[in-house]
Amino acid sequence: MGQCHSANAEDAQEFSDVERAIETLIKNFHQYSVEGKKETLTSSELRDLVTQQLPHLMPGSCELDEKIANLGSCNDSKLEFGSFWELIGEAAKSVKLENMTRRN
Amino acid sequence: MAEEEGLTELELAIYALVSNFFKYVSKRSLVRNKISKSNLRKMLQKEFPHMLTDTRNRKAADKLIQNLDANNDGLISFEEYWTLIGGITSPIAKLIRQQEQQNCD
Repeated sequence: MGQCHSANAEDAQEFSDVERAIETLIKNFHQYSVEGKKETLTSSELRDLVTQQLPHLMPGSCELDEKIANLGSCNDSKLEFGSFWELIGEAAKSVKLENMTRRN
Repeated sequence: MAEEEGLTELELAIYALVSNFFKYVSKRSLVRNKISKSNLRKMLQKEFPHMLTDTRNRKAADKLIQNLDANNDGLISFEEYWTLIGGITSPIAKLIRQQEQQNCD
């Protein structure tokens, strides 16, 4: 009976931390990209995502406002996954610096 | 980092990706806080067992690594690492969305 596991179930158990983390990022993006074209975030969806899901990581709201404003100037105010990834990268960089100062 | 309370799932995921970078930073290198290309390959093999399984993805990853080292110093900075994972992740995100939409129809 033990041999009857589906291949998918076994795969799922072996997901690495990195893969699970990536999955979480994708899931969050999709959770908030519900209006209109579902592969992009509108500026209000982005604002909701950042305030609700990144309360500790995102820099002060001024910077965020600026980013959202910049977003409005191109691409009809929609953020694709790649640009979302870059934005998260900015937040991740602040984690990196924090990490380094704690080490030293 | 992880002991901080009240972090969201998304924040913990970002922390996991950042600490994964530091896990592969070369300890002996004189240049600090960068990953060698050989360590990067090790990382891709070990940490992406599902996402880079088929050869097509692997070839794409090889190409990404080639293009990645923008300043040609043979070392991967955090920014380059983040761009690489973004390059792997974006097509997957699209695919998942397409599959979801097909399932809804």
